[in-house]
Amino acid sequence: MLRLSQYCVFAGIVAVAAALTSYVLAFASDRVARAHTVFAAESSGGTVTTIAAGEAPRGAAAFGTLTTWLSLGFLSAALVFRAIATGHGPFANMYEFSVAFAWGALVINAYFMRRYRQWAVGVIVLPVALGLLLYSTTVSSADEPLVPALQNNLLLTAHVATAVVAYGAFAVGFAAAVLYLLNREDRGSLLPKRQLLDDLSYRAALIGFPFLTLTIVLGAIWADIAWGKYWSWDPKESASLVTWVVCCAYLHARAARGWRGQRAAVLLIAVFAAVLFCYYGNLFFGGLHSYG
Amino acid sequence: MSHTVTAPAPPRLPREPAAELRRPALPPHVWILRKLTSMRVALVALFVLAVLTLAGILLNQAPSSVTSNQAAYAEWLSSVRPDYGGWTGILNALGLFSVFSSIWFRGTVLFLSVSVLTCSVRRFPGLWRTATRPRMVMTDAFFERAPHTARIVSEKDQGAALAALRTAFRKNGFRVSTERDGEDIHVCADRFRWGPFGRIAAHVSFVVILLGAVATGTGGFRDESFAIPVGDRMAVGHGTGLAVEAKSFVDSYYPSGPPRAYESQLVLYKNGVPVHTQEDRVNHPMRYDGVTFYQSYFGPAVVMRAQTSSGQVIFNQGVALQYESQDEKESIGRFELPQQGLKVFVVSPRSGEIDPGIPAGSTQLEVYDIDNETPAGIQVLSQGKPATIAGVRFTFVREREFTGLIVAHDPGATIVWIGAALLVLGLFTTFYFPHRRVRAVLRPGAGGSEIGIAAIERRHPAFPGLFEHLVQDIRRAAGQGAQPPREGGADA
Repeated sequence: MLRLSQYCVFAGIVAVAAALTSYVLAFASDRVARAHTVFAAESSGGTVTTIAAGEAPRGAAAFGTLTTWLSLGFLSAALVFRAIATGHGPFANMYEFSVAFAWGALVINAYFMRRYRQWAVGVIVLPVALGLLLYSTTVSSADEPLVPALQNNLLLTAHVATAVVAYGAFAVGFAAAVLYLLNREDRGSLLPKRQLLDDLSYRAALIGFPFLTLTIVLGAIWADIAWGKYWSWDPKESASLVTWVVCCAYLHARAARGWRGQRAAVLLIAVFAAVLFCYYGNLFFGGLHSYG
Repeated sequence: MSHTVTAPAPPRLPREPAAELRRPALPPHVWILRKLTSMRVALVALFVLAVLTLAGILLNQAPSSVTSNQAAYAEWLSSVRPDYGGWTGILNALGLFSVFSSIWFRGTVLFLSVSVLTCSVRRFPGLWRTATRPRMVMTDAFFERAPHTARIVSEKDQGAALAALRTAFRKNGFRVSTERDGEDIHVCADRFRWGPFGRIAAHVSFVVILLGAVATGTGGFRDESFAIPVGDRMAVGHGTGLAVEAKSFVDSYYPSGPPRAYESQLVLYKNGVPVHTQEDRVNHPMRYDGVTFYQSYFGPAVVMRAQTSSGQVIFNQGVALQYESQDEKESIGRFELPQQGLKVFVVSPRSGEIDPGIPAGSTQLEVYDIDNETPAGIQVLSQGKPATIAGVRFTFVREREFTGLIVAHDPGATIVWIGAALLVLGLFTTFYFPHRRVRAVLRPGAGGSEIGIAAIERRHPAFPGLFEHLVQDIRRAAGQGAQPPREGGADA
């Protein structure tokens, strides 16, 4: 079962890489096509016709969307097989959490792909997922038994599963924010309109923030049971607080101060930077989360 | 030759605005209230909090065990000096080696608490009014110019159309209120009207959690070095009347090496009477009467017996070797003989260490005067062979293990959990159950009635879909004769 899980992870890596390549090709061909159209339009004095966001993907983009769904399927299977093989939620070490984090980013991306009928955010989400999956291949994937501090199946699953959703949502928010900053002129292209990107990034944060809060609360409950203290200023705890505070600032700045567009996008990128710091920080700063 | 054309310079403004244009200075309490409820100031405070927390991660933080002891803190400071060089003094003066108890951190948290509380108190009446006493009669202009509008002409009379409207609204989870205004019937339909109170709950939770943290820091007790040699019983103290006996301790390992379990079989006594027995494990602490016993650590212990010259036994129990020597090569335990005015240190090589001075099967006793650190004698004792030091006959009876517990009574934890529940429920309510309000007006028309529908929700991208769905349901329920929405009306 473990081997099956690993095969699924490898298949997922290939699918993510294929999806990313397809999207890049779609953008490249669109760029060339637009250049020709602009040239033709300028020559004839006409206007430029572009593809609006929200249309069904075609060509390479359609293949990219298909392989994105495929990668999600492979990673879902990998996590299920892993959970069956280990007997606990597949979140107990850096290997499992990296795969789960990539899965979370793809799930939230798929949700927005359906809801907003757009796929372009995948151009940024997929490299994030691919990076996490490639990182997972560099750490041990052995089924190490759980040390006493981790022997709480319910809280292990709940605490890290909520983190996976939160981190995945912030990854998608980050992707939309980056595209917003890249799509400066808001001219028609395969990139969604800036307003849609701005809205999408905000919606992603609205998923990420409550789930991050739930992650921290569940972590505090577990810490109280396992370590005898609900808060110890452990580096990972502190880093999660930094993420929470920055995201809190983002939501308040947006709702009450009207921060939209560029400033909001930069702040959301800062939130994702804090997520990555929280994710990797314990590797450098040690602390009670030394196993994950 | 080129010419530079410049716009005429604008007339210079006087440095000080005219007295009549100058805004009067605000009274101090108004100024403070404005700052407390200012989102700009709150955002700055949030960023300060984030930066300080980041500093707490990146900079070495002094353990709480040394911050209360000046000499120990000075020693700790010199241990980090090589890392920070000339910055050590500055960082120390700024309190950045104890960020989370610094005035900056506490001040920022306190400011944010007062700020969210003030904002919540100010917002509450408005939210309450909106939820419970909405304005019922809206103008015709509202039904024409609201961001979302629709108009339906029904063959049903006004009463039947109202019933149809109610059915459609209720089907979509809306609560309907009506008010007659002349011939018109005005309808106010709400869904999740209590949703905005989630925001209040989430903000208030910040203060509740803070109060819980204060209660944790100031009340109850926490003993992190409660070590019981197996077979012994130790009093918890702190007026609890509790004592714990360690019946056994087992540490087990997986074949590949990592620890599998640390388990202590404990018996709890209340005023000398056994009241509870439990296998205490990591993740399964023993709880009784508000006191929690967490399995935390373990190590070697030795059973020592001490007798006076007349043979009276004055000490006969295990001594947990729970401290380490500075070179980390020896385990050290300690007990006192108050009547003899002695304190005794028991020293053994740590597991895996070899000390030629303390051969296997023996331990070293260091006996001191209890008050003035004067050594009364140091001697290595072989197991079962007594030795007399400072007039007391000591015997190293046998080796044992001890189990180390954290014993805590935390009156703040419950408050923190209440705050955490408020926070989570508040956030999920705010984000996933937002208040939706749709208004309608029913007017008798020729051969039936006319229904105007409008809503002003602008922010939520899913709202147009909901509005369209609602309008279609109303159109179906209102029966034949219904007309499609006006062009530019329901933006569905």
